[in-house]
Amino acid sequence: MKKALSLLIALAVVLSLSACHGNVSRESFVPPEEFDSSRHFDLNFWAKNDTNKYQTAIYQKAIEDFEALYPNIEVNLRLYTDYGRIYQDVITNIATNTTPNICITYPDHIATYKTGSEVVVPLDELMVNAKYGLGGSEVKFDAPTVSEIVPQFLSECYIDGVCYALPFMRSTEACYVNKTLVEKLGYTLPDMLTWDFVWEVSEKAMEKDADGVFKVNGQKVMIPFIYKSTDNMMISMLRQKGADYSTAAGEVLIFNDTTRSLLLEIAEHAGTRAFSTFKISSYPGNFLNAGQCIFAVDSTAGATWMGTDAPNIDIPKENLVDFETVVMEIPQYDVSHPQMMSQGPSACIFNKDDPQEVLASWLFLQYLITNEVQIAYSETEGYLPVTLKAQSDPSYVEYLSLRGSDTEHYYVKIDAAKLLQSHTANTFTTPVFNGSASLRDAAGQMIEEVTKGMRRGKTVDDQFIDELYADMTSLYRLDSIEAGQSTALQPLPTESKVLLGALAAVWVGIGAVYLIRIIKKRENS
Amino acid sequence: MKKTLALILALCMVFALAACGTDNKPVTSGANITPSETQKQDTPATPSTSADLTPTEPIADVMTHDEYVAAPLDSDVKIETYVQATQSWWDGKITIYAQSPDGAYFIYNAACSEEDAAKLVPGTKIAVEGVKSEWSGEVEIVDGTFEILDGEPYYANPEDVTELLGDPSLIDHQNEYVSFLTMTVEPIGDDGAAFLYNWDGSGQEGSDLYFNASVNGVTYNFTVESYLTGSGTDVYEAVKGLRVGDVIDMVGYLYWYNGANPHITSVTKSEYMSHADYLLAELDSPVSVITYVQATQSWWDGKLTIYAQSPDGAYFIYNAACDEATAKFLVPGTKIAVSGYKSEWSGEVEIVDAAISPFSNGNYIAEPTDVTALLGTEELIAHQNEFVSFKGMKVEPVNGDKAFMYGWDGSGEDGSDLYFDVSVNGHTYTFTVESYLCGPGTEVYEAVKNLKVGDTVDMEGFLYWYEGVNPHITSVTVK
Repeated sequence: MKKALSLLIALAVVLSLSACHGNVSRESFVPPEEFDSSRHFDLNFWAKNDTNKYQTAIYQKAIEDFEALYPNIEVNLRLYTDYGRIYQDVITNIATNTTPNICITYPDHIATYKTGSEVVVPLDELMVNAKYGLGGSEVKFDAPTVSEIVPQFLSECYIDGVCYALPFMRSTEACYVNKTLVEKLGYTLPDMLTWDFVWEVSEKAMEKDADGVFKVNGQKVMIPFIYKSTDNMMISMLRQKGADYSTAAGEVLIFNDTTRSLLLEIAEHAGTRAFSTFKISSYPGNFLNAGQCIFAVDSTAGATWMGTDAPNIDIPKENLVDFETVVMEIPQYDVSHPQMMSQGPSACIFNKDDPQEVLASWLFLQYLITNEVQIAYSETEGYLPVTLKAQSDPSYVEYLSLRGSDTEHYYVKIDAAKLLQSHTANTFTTPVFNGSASLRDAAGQMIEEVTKGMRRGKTVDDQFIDELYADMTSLYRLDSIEAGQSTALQPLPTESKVLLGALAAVWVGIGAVYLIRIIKKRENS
Repeated sequence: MKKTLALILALCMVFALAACGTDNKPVTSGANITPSETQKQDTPATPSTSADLTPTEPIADVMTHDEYVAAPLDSDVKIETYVQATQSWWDGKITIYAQSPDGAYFIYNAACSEEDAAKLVPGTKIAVEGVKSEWSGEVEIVDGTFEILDGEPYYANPEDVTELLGDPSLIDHQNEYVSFLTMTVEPIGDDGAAFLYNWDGSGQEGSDLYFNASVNGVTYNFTVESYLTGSGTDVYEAVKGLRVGDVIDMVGYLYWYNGANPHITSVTKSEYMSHADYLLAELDSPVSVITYVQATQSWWDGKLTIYAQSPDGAYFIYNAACDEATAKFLVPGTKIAVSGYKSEWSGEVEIVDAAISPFSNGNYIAEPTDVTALLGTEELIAHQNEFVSFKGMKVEPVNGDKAFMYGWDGSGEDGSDLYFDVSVNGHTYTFTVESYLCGPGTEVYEAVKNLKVGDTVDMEGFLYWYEGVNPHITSVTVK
């Protein structure tokens, strides 16, 4: 019986400890002195493409070229078309120690991944490793050095002062404008768009004739202003206004009066149907190309879908209309200090028990920012290479110079890349912390909600906004984000404290019983 | 001590397991939906006082309802029950719809003075003696007399028997006060009217009203009995205002005439709309429908996308809030109530921001409609979202000489959506195997991967729309 009891106790302890599997613990990665080229390594690379076959081909070619350089490394590509799915899958696999080796991702997501201990590999030491660091002596390809990565983009990969990723590709948002319709409405495009200008022209475009046909395009459908990413919209508006969003440590500040006034401003134009969103109406580019939208805000990485002659068209050809497309900065509140999002994927590597495997992952990650990969991938869309080395490469300079010469050099795509290149200093990112992805979602959802509310005949006023703030806080659990501790290990939950206390009590009890029995046994003997 | 220790240990293990996984679960935003139909269906039309009933000792020869049911036809019976409704008194006789907590009775043409008839208000307790009889399936007490008794009144709650329609067990509820919920008015008579005066349209104002209503794809006949609720009553006027396609809730007595022939006493427009009304609803307006799951995309992040269809039309329910347990419950055929907003996204008319409530009963699986001949015509959109079939189409090359592509442009890999082109009558169309609906390993996914250019195929699927027709194919057969 006693043995059974002991076994039960041991089992309980084991179960108790193993139950807390959420925070995976692993040894810190220490780079090996030498990379073991005699061993075979299978690496899993989870990537995202924009459902663009050229991007897929570039990933595959990068893998082939890399494997040719390192025959003992085999890279298995798994493609996603949605960052959210990668994020969810990584979260799921952290708990079972089955993360990929390399993953295309966003710093917001990394902030959550790294709540597990030693899950994501810090890159600071690796980057400057003399042998295997960026441009290291033992690296078998022409990698950029740290200083050749665009500093702005590299800085986005730091969390709590530690670098956890390398930038892979960068884009920003652009406003793709149907200049033809703007001028038809009697306006001249300014050098830089302002919110006032966009709202004014959009409202003007809503005029209909007696048959309910929009005067500006002679169609039954017109949504003058469509914004693809409403989280970016809210974040950019707040940034341009100098208003609070969050602190770097993770204190949520978005529910303020500026946000309120912005939401009411947006609601006004949603109510007239001059404004809508991707989630509500569909792709801005589809409406733009059908002559049913004047200001389509989307990523520069979506440039090949914009305009009459776009290489990628998603609407029936008979619905296409002829117009002049102009790529402009997103609308601004202060044109003397333009501000726009820096966005685009980064890539991180995950820790493994075998340091050699991690080193192999690092080598492949490094390969992703070589000129060959950077230039090829950036040319598939309006992306910008993340290294100065690639941006100044003669082949890339020539690519930009051939603007409009053929489909490969589609002028909208090249204008989009140039937009970011010329405004790199005007880009910004939001603070990254555990929960920052949820805050971003909430920022966008508030615009979606006021837009839907107005379309559905609700009254969007201060009471609506108050309720919205409360709903967003609850839905995205923004009140559970702990500023300052967000990316570190969380304090033990109450259940665990109770559990540990109970375990201690059990051991004390066992000890007491054991002691009493020994004493009794001695007394009896 | 050992027991105490064991208890503590057990507690520890429970705590240990309960503590697991609370911190690192991905946050999901979906509202928790628990399968429930009871909240709606249990709402009584009239307040019940059954809890207030004071049990009374039955007199020696008074039968219980079970004894009444067991009694042979043409035998003398004596029961005590409660009036629920009466038909109009005439010529010293009255017909009573009566019900007790244990069962219901139809008392046909009991002897009754006009003075007593006025006392037979709903809830009144009566003792009835007569002969058990059956007339065209209706079991009733004939040649009866009654006596009004003292006692607390009893009002029966209508029991929802919608899902028992067509089921042999429905007869167990004969004569009871019942309800039929969310049924769709169907045409009746040669002219496809919403109702008829008399069963064949031979009547006029004041005659009984007959109308048809369907559920689960089967149509049933209902009557407004003019002696019970005649011209000018709410139900009589409501039925006269019905339109085919209306979705209605009904309450009445489960009368029998060669089968169920309910005498309806209340008809109200359901909070749910017919498909015709749904089509008429403006974009961004709230919509509520009763429909049946035909297929679902894979559940993710607290959301579920549903292909749904009713006998009168189909729906695409995009990203409805749904917890994982409910998602597993929503197998094809499941009846669901859906409330959300009508929306349009790249030509696809759908219900968004929807809440769904599954019913525990109800089943309807749509048969595919062959729309091959409608491809390229404006009539096709009338079938949007329906389960359809395409016959005898030829597989055309895509991306060079391939029969299909992973992703719209070939950028995907195994697991991505499959795109393939098929032609008929010289026109080529792009069809999709949506991986969230039919992913790798499903028959259709593997079948499309095995297609060859030039194959002739029959297909079934849902008539999704994206900037034009873009069917989500669920089966492919090479001929």
